[in-house]
Amino acid sequence: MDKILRNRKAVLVFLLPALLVYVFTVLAPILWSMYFSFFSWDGVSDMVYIGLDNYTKMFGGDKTFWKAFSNNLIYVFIIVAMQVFLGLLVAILLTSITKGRELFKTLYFAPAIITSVAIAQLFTSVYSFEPVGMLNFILQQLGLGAWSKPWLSDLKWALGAVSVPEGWRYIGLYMIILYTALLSIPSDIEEAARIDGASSWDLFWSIKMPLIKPVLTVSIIMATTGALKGFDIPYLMTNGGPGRVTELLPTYMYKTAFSSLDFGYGSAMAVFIVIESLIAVAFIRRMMESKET
Amino acid sequence: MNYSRYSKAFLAVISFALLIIQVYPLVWVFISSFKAPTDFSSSNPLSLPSKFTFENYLSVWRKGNLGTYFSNSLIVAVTTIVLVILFSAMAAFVIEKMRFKWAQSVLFLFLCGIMIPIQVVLIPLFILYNKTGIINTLTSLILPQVGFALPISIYLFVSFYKYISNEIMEAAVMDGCGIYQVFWRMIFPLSRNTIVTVVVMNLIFIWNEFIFANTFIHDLSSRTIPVGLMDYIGQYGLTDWGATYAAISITTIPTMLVYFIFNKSVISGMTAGATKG
Repeated sequence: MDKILRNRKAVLVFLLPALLVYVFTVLAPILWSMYFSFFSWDGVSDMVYIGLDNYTKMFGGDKTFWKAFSNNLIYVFIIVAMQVFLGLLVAILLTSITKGRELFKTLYFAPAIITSVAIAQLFTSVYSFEPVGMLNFILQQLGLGAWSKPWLSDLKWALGAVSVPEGWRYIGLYMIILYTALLSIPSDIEEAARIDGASSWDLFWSIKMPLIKPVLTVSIIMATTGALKGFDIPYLMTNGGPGRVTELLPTYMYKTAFSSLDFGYGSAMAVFIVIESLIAVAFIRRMMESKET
Repeated sequence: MNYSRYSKAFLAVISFALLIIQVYPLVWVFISSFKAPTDFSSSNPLSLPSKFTFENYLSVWRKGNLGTYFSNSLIVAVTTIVLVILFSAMAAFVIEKMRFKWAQSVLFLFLCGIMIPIQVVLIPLFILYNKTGIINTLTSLILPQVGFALPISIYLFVSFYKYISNEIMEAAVMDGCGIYQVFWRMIFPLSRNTIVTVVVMNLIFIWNEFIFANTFIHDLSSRTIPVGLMDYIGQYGLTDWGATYAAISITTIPTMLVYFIFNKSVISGMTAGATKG
């Protein structure tokens, strides 16, 4: 038995296909990106080694980079608020419904399975001003016609407008994760607290929240890292515009590499996106843990 | 929870309202796909079609490319999924069941992939595929998608293999099975449920994939559905909305069908995919 399970050749036969594809499409490209980030290169002419110049340009002189960075933080904030906090709210509501939970879950999750291209087009028409889209029409019907505006070309509102669709499509995903966590709380804990005279509110804040905190932490991390990589919907809806008001780091990186053909600088930004995600994960973990004491 | 009757009714109303906000836009796309062009210039986007017309579907069909995009998407999805299932089941078998010193390190290496943003591989892969000439071919979509699907798929298979006892493998070996037969005849067929989860989860991700397709494919004839959908957005706001909604409806139907048939597997797969990140 042992001999069969130690069969070296079989180990290689089973492992190599996965390992080769994975190394060549995921791991090695990360190293190449790091390497490219030290060069000035348009993909055609010779690569020129420029040391840390791309990074000093990025952190020092590039206003668009910082604009994209601060936009990205707002984007993260809106998306985490929608996905995790609305998701939690809906999950709590769901625990109070007795009939039709399964149907509710199924329908609520549906937007998550639609391609971002379709979602971008759907919301472009929702926000449309001329012809009047769903949002502006509803505002007019509510007598709030003064608020209606071309959301995607409005300098103040465009960033919010491109953030909402991404938040909206995955509320159902986080709702289900948090709902499962809420369900896994043993009911005798709840009963004991009730007998001790806890109100619904106490029960929620002092008992349920601490118990689902690990899941909540993971959800916040997922939503944050997801939003830091945010690309499809802003790229498709506004392509970073008008001006740079909806530019995010991934859209800026993409344009730098594939429109301006500055592969070195684009790679430096790609590397930054990875590091930024790692820092965000560490930061959220630390914040959520320190609240515990 | 113990709520009073009134607060229960109140919560039910709120839940229902939220459900409508969540689902109505999708229903609306479907309804709007039957509207006549004149309906779009009317001032009420929420109205029903003045008369149901299939004109939009015909115009999508006449544009002609949707069939090509469909078959490209299908080729990419099927090939990718077959490779992902085979490669990840085999690799997970080595990691979980075979006596192999580096098993845990290899697993860790794979799991790191769950956290990696796609953007960081785009430039190197673009350059590599350009040099090797596979840019603009479906292979340039299949390879990276297999790579990025492996981590979570391997994770799901490894979690399942933990529950298969070593005794039944021993029994099979006693009966004269070699290692390959143990895997193909016993372990692989036993993992049917995990296979279904991995298939439906990946099918939806792959069917909807946009960034690779937008970066590596420039030929009309190699486009997949998500990129092809962009045909219906005109430049400078000249959009054929009717055709757009019809195209969205047609292209979303396959994922919707898969979802409503396998919704438990889709949800469990996607939440697993998400929570391990």
